[in-house]
Amino acid sequence: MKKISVLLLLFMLTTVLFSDPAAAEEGSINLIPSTDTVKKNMIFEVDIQADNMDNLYGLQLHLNFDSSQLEIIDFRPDFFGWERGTQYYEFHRWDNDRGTFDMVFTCCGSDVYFSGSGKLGTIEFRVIGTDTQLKIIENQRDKSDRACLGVDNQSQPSKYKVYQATIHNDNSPPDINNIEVIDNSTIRIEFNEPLENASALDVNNYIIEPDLGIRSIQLDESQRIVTLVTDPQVGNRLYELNVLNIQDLMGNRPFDVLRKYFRGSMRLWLEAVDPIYKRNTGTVKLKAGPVEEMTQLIFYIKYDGNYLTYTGVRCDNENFSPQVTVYPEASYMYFLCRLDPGPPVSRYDDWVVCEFDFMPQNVGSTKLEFMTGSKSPEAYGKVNGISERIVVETSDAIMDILQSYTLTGYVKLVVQKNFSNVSAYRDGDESKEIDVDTKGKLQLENLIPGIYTIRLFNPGYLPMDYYIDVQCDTEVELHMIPGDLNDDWLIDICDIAKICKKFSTKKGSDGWESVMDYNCDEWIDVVDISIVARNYGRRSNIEE
Amino acid sequence: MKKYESIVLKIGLFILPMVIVMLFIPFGRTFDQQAKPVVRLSALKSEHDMEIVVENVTDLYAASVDLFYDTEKIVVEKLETGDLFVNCEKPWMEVVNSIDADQGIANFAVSLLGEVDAIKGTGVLVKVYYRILDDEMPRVKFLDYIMEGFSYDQEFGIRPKLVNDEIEYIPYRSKVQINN
Repeated sequence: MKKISVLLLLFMLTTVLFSDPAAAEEGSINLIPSTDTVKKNMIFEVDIQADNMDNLYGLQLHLNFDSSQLEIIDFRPDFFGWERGTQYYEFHRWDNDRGTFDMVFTCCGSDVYFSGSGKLGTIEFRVIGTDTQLKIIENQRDKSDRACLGVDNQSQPSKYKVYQATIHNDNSPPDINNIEVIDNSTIRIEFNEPLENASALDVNNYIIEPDLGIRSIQLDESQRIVTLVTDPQVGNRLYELNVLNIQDLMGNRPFDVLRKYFRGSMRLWLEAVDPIYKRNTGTVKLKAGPVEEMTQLIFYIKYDGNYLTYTGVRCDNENFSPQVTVYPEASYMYFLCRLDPGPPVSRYDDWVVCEFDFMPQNVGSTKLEFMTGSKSPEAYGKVNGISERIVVETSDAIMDILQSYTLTGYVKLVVQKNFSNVSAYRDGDESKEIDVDTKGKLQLENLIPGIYTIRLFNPGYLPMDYYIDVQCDTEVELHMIPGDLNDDWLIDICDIAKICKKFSTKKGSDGWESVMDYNCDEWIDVVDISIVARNYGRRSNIEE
Repeated sequence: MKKYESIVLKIGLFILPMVIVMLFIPFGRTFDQQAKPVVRLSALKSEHDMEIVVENVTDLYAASVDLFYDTEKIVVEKLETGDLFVNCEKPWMEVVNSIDADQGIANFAVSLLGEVDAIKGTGVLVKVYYRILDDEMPRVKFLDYIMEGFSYDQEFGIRPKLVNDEIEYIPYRSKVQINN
């Protein structure tokens, strides 16, 4: 029986080998490696997969490989899960010196054949070389176009296309392609190949000098990009990144520490000094983080002209000379600020670069922002005498503009006349005179909430400070105290004597003093004296 | 001759300056004191009446008296214009007469009216009627008429002010006379 089977097999093979095979239109043999990447001494498998077979009865397959790079360890026949000797016969061999693998199989009996897709077997290879690309292909070198021939149950031969297996042989340790400073606390390291997860995410494998702490690590999907979140960097400082013990997916490790240099990013941010009230100058500070040897700073600030009007810039640093140019746009305003410090600037704390003043025009929230694109902030710093650009991280500011208020005061005299001599001053400051109209009305506009002092003077009256709490639009009556006739800010017997001396004096007569005619009846009489007497003992509340 | 020169020298250098110092300075003070009127507090008539007397005034047009007292010891009941103005035979007016029993402040002011001659002489400016709440007579103190501000810590503080025809304060000397 066995002899019959072997004869039948040989007959089949002879038939296949010497017949004129027609190319199978759909069927193919796929060599499918168990891994894309291998390294020296690694063992891997290649499945031989028959796809889209149509009544396959027998097949011969001849493969070859680079014998200097690979060697076959084993072959495990599978043949669609059939039972060997009952449903099929097969023969295989390999030659690791020549780099060849041959395999032939045939079904047993007339009613066994295979249609569809299924695995023929698995070859086990060991990597013995270090070439970067390993190929397992059909052996056209020796077998020409008969490297893969099949026969169907009708003894019709078919040629099948063989899809080769290509495996990357990775024996190189990972290296850093590029390092990029993203912002003041983020560094992106691009490796030349995917990294093994655990070593890539181990914080102990990264050391940055001068000491810069690493807060977290992320590895992207490609496993080639490592993002380090660091402590805030010192702008323009030259840092050395040391990467050690990192390994690629094949376990290759660098022979030495990977070392790269980068310059720290500078942080710039805008900070509105709250609170800000409409029509009251508001200040926005431009602040910066630590920086070394900064030589130039150029940036554009964009703002809404409906809310803000730029009024000026201040800078405490004598070496800075901020140059600001304002530009209008259709829907917003922006200005260019350029700082060219004389000697390079080094600061090791957060610091105020300069302060911008704005006049808020409307109530509401508005944003001040650094412009981007071609108008992104530019900072330059020196390292080893060479000026280079510093990466700048920015944050914008929101200004909340609050309502300001109006204080309206009505000066009250004994008789509501003759306000022409009333003098009013804000905060007791004689340089801040307030207009008093002919009806004794005065007004302070655009006030921020707070207590305001209005100082009033009027001949014959006590000079007084009036303290007014303004938390909304406010109207107050400012009652002046009559009786101080000798301007000593005290109403006493001298004032009484002075007015008594003019007792019964009529307007137009000798000695007439209109200031004593408090009730404006053109007589200095007992009414006026009583007005003074009523305030006897009172004094000004102005502190000298 | 030498002895004579020595005596002259001693007189010239030591004795004469001392005589000058001893004679003229006290005399000067006395003259100055004599030129000022005196405001005297007297409680002659009754234990509960007090008079503020102005002596030797030459040019008085108006006057005021402010009293500051301890309300736990004294009650000021009434202030009354004295004969200095009442009997001056000129137009005058009691302008202020107020007692604040809570604060312990009493104010009195009186003035001539119009362009009249000022008052000369001596007389009672104001009579103060008061009650003592305990047995002890409070300590009375004249307060400087120039001193600004009130003083509430006095048992009985009196601050007279005298004003002349030129509407200037008249300096004075003060004296307290308690006569039981």
